[in-house]
Amino acid sequence: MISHTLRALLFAPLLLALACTHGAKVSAPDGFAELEPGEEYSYRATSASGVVIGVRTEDNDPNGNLEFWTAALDYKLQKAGYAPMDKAASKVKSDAGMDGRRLRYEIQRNGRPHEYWVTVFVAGDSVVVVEAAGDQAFFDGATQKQIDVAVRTVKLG
Amino acid sequence: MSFRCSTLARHIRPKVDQQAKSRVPHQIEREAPLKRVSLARGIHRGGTLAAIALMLVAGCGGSAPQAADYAMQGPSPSPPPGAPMDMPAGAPSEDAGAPASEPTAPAQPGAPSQPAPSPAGKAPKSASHAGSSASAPQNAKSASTDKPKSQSRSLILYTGDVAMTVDADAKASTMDSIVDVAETFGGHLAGRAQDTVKVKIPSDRFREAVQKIGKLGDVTSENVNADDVTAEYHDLEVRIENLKATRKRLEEFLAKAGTINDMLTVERELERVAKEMDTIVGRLRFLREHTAFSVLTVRVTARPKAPPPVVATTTTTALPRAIDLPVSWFASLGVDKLLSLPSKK
Repeated sequence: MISHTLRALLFAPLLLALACTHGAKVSAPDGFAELEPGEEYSYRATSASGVVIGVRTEDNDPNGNLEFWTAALDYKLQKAGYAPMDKAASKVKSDAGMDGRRLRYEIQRNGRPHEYWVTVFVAGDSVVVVEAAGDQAFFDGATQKQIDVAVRTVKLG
Repeated sequence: MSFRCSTLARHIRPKVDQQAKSRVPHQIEREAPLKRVSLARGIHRGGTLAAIALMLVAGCGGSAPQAADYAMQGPSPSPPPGAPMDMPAGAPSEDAGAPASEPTAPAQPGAPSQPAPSPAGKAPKSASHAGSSASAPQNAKSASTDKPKSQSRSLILYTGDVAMTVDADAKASTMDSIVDVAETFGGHLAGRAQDTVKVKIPSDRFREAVQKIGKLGDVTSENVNADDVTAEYHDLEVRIENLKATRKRLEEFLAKAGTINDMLTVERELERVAKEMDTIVGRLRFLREHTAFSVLTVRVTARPKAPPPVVATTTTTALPRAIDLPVSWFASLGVDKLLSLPSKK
């Protein structure tokens, strides 16, 4: 009986946190500067060369699981002209233990090839989308590694 | 001198034979199915006229009686009409009918051109077809002489079939080119249909020509058949030589025939021999012609049209979707929104 109470007390903050996720964030990579998130994002940061990482926290509505939102995003982006770089979404696990899926695309912007990475997590009633984009010339291996690290630091606010 | 040798022989021989028969009626040798009369006996018993007649025949080289007639008549451009010993029309003569006079024997495809083996002067290779003891010495002598050159070469009938595809608009020109190639190699057009062109190519350049023709399109199939007719050819050569020897003896017999029945019998036999020679000469000619030239049949068909190139399609058509999800924030998703940094005043 006591153990049940203790377990409930331990998980209560986590459940509370999940229930109140209105602003997920990531740790800004080295060399990135945080930006005003604006209305669309719960977090946004940019590198000096213009590689931007942003985090959206949306309602899980319609209520779907990780696969649903991954597919929905993929459809949406391909329909908008984003060319997938991978045959399938790759699995990601955050430092906090959340499962996610990463999608990578290419797209032309202002006559320049750009890369656009989208990583989606589903946490209860919230859908967390971590976006990263930038000119391919600046989207080098080091930057990609920084972004990978930053994505894994996603935390629900 | 318009008196013909054959007529002379007819008038003279009965007397000779009657005399001969009356003296030695059973001494006429019989060589089935011919009755043979010894030349020596004829001369001995036939008296002066018979001897003259036989000498005339013998003096003409023992060939057809017509030759004797011509000798008596002097130069005469045409054979005597209605002569009983006339050869059938088109019958092979000593020269024209014999394969010896034919120009070429073909070479093998791919082999360098060689002078055609000339069977001229060829004697019968064996006595197997002679069937006569009288011909044996001659055949034996022939057998001892050199083998004809053609015996050392293969006579092969080559036929080839090639199927190729070309562009639809190049079909006619390709067929023309095939004929051009054949003519380049010394061949010629042998037939042409809508999709097929048949050419004859000298056998010794057959392979070379096939290779060149194969470059005119995409070859889908290629078949070459070879039929070795060397044995048949030489067998026919032997037979024709032996038939000539037989004919010669028959003519000698005819010259010495004592009765009408004998003459008719010999003439019938001569006719049979002539027909057989005709058949063999025809076959020899066929083999020579068909081994000298190989037949190549090329079927030219239009290449199937290539499928239309795949046109890059937009993702809109690549990802058909009837409705959009009612997710408002999808509209602001993407690079443009993410990279539009807020401007600070």
